[in-house]
Amino acid sequence: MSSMSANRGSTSIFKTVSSTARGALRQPDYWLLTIILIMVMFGTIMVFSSSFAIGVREEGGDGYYFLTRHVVYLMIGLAGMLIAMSIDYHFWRKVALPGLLIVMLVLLGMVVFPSIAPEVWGASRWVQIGPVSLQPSEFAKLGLILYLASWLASKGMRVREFNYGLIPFAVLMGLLVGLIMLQPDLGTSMLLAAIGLSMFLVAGANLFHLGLVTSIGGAVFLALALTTAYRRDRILVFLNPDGDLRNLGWQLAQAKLAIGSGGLFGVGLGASYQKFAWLPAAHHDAIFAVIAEELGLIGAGFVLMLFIMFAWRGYRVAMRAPDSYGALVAVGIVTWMIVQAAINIGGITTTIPFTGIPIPFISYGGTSLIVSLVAIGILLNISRQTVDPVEVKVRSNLRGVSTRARQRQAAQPAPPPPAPRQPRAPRTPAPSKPGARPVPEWPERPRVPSPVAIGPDDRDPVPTPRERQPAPKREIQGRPTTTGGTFGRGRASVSPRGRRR
Amino acid sequence: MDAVNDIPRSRIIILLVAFILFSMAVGYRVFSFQIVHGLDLTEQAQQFRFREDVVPAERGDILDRRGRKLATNVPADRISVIVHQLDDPDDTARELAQIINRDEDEILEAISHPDREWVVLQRRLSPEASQQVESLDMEGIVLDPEPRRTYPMGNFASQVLGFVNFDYEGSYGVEGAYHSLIAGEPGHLIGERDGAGNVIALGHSTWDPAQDGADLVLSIDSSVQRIVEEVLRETIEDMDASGGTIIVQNPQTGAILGMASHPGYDPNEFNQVQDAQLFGNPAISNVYEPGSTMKALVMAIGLETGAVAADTVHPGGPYRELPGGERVYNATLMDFGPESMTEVLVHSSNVGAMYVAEQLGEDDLYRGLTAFGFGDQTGIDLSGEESGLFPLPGDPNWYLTNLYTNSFGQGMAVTPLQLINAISAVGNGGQLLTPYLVEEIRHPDGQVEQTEPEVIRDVISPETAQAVNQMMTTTVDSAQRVYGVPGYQIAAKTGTAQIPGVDGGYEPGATIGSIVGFGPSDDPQFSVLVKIDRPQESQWGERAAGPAFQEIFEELFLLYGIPPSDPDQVR
Repeated sequence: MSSMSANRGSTSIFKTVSSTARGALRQPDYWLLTIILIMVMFGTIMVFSSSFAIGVREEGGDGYYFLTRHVVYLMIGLAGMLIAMSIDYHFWRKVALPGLLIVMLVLLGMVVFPSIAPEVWGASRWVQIGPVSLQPSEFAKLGLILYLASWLASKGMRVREFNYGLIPFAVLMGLLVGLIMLQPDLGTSMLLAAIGLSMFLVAGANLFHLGLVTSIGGAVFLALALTTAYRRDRILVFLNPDGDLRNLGWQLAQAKLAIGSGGLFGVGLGASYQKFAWLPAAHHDAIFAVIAEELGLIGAGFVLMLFIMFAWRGYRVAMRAPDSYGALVAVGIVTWMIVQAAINIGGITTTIPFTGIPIPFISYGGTSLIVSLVAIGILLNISRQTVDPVEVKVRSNLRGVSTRARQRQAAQPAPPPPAPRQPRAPRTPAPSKPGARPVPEWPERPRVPSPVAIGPDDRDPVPTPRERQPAPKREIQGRPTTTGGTFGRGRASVSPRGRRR
Repeated sequence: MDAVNDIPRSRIIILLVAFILFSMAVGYRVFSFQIVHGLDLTEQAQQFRFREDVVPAERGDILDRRGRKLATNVPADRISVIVHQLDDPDDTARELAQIINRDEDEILEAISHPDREWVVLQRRLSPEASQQVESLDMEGIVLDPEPRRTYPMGNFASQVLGFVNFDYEGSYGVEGAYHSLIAGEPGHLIGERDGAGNVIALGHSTWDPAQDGADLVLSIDSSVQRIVEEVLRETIEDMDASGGTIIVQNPQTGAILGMASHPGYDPNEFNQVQDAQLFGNPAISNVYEPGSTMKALVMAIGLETGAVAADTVHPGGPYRELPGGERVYNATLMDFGPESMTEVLVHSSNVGAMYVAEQLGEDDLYRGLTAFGFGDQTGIDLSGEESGLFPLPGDPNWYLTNLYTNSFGQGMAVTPLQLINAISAVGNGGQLLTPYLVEEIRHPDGQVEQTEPEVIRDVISPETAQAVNQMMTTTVDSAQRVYGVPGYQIAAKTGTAQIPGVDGGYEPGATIGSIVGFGPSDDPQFSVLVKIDRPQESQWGERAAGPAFQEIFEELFLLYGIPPSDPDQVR
């Protein structure tokens, strides 16, 4: 990480975007951006529709109370997204650890000094700082993703080792999830666990370790759930939804009625009946039920489709991220959003036990909306730096070889160096015109021939991070260079084809 | 600084596939709710939401002929609990138990029933209790006013009025007979409610307003009714009687001015009444042997048919032997000797009455008595009226002796109302009218329906009526001190009847003393019937019922300002 901007002409992180000699920063993934914008617009409409009656009833007759606040949060969030989109995501690697530590300290402080976190709805999840109330658990999600990605990426294949990978991972997750559980916030704890496990999986975890940590964690969750009265109630309500019409059973029963009333096309936008005090938290936890009622199966399916498309485009960014760190950050962020959506939608449809967390981008905002949009900004920044999928595939193929085999490979005599690189194809966007940058001088080092037949003309003049070595300083490289780990040093480097776009 | 160059990104596919599978599960769930069970759930939601509220119609007031309210409505709160909104059922039960005076556990059980959404805990709260509940300010507790029927005068004309039960249905009396008219048509508010129970302003609500009930103006004059009730109570006390009935009727219209039976009850506290028989109205439903009061009517039939004339004198004697050999004596075994028809009434001679009946014969006597309304309901606007026991020739329980015993009011049973209505026909010049209690129906739209006197038939000619009137007036004059009103001329006939026992004979020593008449004689304004059951002080109608009759007439003349015919005599 230390080499990240050492070779840049400017120290400004913003400048790295606009003026990097690399110029490889391309347009963000417009699919992804469009999906997010559709989600927030749709969400704003539905927040208005579902909160109008609540505002009238609870906020002194102001039907626009929640809408105006939501729009303010949304504007802040979108600004945050645009800024984050312009910051090279490697920047976050530097701030991840201190950031996460601060978040964990705040969380710990909330547990130790309950006065700073007033209890709302039976849980202390908010911290009041002046006029702003923040939900530290939202920052915990982002902090976890950024730090865990950094940590996992630096471990490389050693995440497979019990002492090196599993134990620190389990300790970190245990600490963070434990702090959230103390608030108590079961939904966010589950979400954090899901994010961590997904990133651990993609980072190359030993599947046996993964299974082990999942089952131990699951057992702890279950034990906690069954020993706390209200959580046990939730599980009982889930198992027998029609049994108890009070409190949570009431909400789920009303949600079911709302969804069921929607039919195929819904009762019409704005025409929900259940939002009139039948359905608690209609604009928040239960907004999916209002959508399903007003817009029917079409509307509910639309929301599910949006999230599936988001998952597809988001994971696509992860697949094409230029380095492991980017891939892991992308995996973490995408998993965060879709698992949070899944917990909410699954809960409100009683597919899984209900825990009160909002749907990202659609539910009434607050800290959650802002932090989520900032996370999307980071994801979009990664999307601006993606590399060709074939290149990733090449690497994946390499990864497909077992560790031992790779070690053997590394011990073999070096293959001949690849042919000199050619300027990239003219289809490359403007900043990377052919010949705009000098072709680097490649140090003499062993290279593995590409398993894919690639013509010399097809080579990308910009080496991917893994090709970069610490020794030669190259002005053209704005991206962090890989220092090479235990396995990577002096090992394979693959020349990818030129990008297709 | 990264340890390796890349990670197994293909594992991302697992995450994507997992999410798509989960989305499909959710999608299936939504599909199941919306398409498979959509109609069911929509209906259920509507049941939650569309609450059809019956908007109670304002029940009409019941007024007396002077416009005093005999029955009206006051609001009283009903306390209900919305079960799912309660924060703490135990606490709620504890607080409410003190206020509404019910067992805490009982309340807790009622409000923690998982299947119920809405529990009505107590109705007709007192204003103090309402205020206390309100000051609790608890979530989920609802006070809503519902009308409560109230009878401002308490135990007053209760058999006439009836009462309104907890379901707000009129029972007995005018409340029962006119229920559909005074209850009105309840309206319906099919309202779309929000979860807190309020009607959604923009929702689909249909409002079908309630049609309020009509007000009833009774022919009852509460001043007369008060006199009647007081006199009845005093008389029963004085005579140590078991019960009694007094009716005051306007003989010219058939309107009932007062009607009371003892014992009564307080319709405000109808639920405290132990014996449901008290709810009935003895004036229209109790039958008794009228005794000698019948003689006036038999005489009227005799005169009308010409079987006897006013100056006819019958031979007299201490007794008469009936077909079958039974001898019937005069009361107290008197032998009055030859009597004129007037003297027959004055003496209340059984032998004389039997003479008239014999002169009449079966056909005319029974045609006449039937014309006076015996054996049939009078048609008063109340339910539960009896038609009496009046066997006619040819009926299996009619014997030839009935011809004779009926002439002095035995072997048949009438209701007090039947008897006074027949006597009123004599008083008004011969027309049998339909008695009524409701003088006026004031519909909520302002339309007023006035009851017109209804003539059932002309029973006797005005001349006959005048003759009988004269005879009955003479009867009163001869016993002025006991039941006459000094200075006024009134017509009356007393009666003392035995009470049929359960074994077919008569109750030993028990009588019903009664008197029926009208006044003033020259222009009858009031008919009065006094019937005292089992008087212990005196078994004779003259002594048991006469003073009450006298007192009522005195009060009536004063109340209505009837001038005396002989002012010097007025005491």
